[in-house]
Amino acid sequence: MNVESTLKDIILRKLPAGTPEGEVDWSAALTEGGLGLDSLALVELITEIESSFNFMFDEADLQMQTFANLESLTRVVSGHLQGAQSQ
Amino acid sequence: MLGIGMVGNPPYRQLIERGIADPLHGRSVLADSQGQLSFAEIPALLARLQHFFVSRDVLPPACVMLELGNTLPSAACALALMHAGYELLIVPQAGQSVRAAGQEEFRAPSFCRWIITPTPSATVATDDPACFVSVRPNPHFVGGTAAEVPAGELRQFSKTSGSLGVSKLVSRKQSQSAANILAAAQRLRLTPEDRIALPSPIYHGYGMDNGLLAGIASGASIDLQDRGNLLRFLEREKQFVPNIAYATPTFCEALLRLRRRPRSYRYIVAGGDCLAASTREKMETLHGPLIEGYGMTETGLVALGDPADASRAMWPLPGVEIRFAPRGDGAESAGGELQIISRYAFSGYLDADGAPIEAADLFDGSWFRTGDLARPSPDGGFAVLGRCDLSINRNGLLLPFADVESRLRAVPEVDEAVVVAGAETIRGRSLIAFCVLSPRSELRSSEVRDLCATRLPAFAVPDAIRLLRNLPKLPSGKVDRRLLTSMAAQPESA
Repeated sequence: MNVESTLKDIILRKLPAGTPEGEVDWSAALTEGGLGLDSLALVELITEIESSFNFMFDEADLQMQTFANLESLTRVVSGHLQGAQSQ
Repeated sequence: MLGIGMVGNPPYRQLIERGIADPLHGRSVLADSQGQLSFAEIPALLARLQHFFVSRDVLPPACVMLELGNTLPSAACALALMHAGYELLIVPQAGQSVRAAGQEEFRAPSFCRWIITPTPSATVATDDPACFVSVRPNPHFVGGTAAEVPAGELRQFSKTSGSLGVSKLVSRKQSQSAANILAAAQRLRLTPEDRIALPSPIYHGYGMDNGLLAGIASGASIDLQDRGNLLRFLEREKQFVPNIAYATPTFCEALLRLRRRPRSYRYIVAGGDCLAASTREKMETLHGPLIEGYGMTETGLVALGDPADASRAMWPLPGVEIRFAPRGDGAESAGGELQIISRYAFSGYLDADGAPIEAADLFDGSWFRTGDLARPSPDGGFAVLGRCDLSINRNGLLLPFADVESRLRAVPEVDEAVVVAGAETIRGRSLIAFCVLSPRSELRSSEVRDLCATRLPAFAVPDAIRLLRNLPKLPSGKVDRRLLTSMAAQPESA
């Protein structure tokens, strides 16, 4: 599955109601100041990502840097999937 | 440190000095995401700020509206103003509060002379406070008797957390608030060795009184965490190394989802809403003792657990009396309405012009009616079960069903509307609305939901709308809410 596009779908579902899909700036921060995900939405996002991709984030991943934007998130998730595949 | 215009012996001064003037506390720190300040540096910072305000003609005891976030500039301003004896209205800094669509921007009350706005991400390590705070006169200031300090008793104002109705201000005496904070600090047995993680906003009594001020008065180190961000909380665990944290039940539930390995705390304080037993158990397994707290803007802090008490019960603070009043509506409940007499309670409500708002219906004689159901616990103390009246806690805001129902009924073609609490989600109970449409209406439930989304703030829009031909009624003619609540718990049949 394409990691980035799956992540986009999940994030879109978490955005504050009324955010038009076509206008999302995917280079922006995921949280306040960017796409506006609040703390609760972030936790829901994490849970959904883990269940969609069937892995669990390490505590080391659970920091602001991972969730800075779509690119950083894609990198971390892909890293986990590749790690799983090579086992 | 007495300067021009300072009110002799402001109630908060002693409380703050207890923390910052003690040489034994010199190495305790007050931190935020940008940096930190040792307690030894705080007195000079407060003096610089107080001098700055006086130079701008902002003189105590004038009432100041202070916009706060969990940052060093905010905390420094709050401490400086409290220490010098200003009257204060504390509100969230811009962009922090959840403002309803269609609700007007909060207007500073006409008895507030000044508006003080700390700059969130500025450093306080500068000789010129203008770098981290701005001051402007309140364009709506009128003055008058409402602006006068009654009998020399400095007041503190807060907005109530009611979410859809008209804003009311709660007025409390600073002397009572300071005594309340000291009682909390003593109950929590805070020491200068403690390091407190504070994601709870300091624009609310819980974060400000229980957290920041109780911590400062005890000489404890404090890490201010802005916007309750869970990821930042986890990062700061490694950097600041707290041994105490303040959380709300919602924050606890979110933390439990992300926590992978146990991380031990001296204790974690949970306040602001009822804590589910399963949440409590999981929290204690991963972190250690969990201390519950209960309070309201009107009553101040009412009860707290004691870290030395193995029973984990929540006990009223000294000076607080509680009772459980039977509800008298025939409902079977395990407890009664929690009612309070407290030496720390408010003086009354004010409107935006400083005029008193009648509140007799909130009192049963001298007892303040909290509107919460509670019962005594088997091991002593008491537990809160939930709201008595028809409302839920939604995203931390109190949402009365009646308010949602009346806006739903205002939607054209909606004849009747009743809202009930549905299943538990991470945001709290879900909100399910049952609507009866006018006979010839062809609206679908999704359309009704879209229509009410234009009339309600996002957090108050029902999660689902179910259309019924008519509402189930009790023999008395009242809507059978119990039946609707159990229907809401079932998935909708196609």
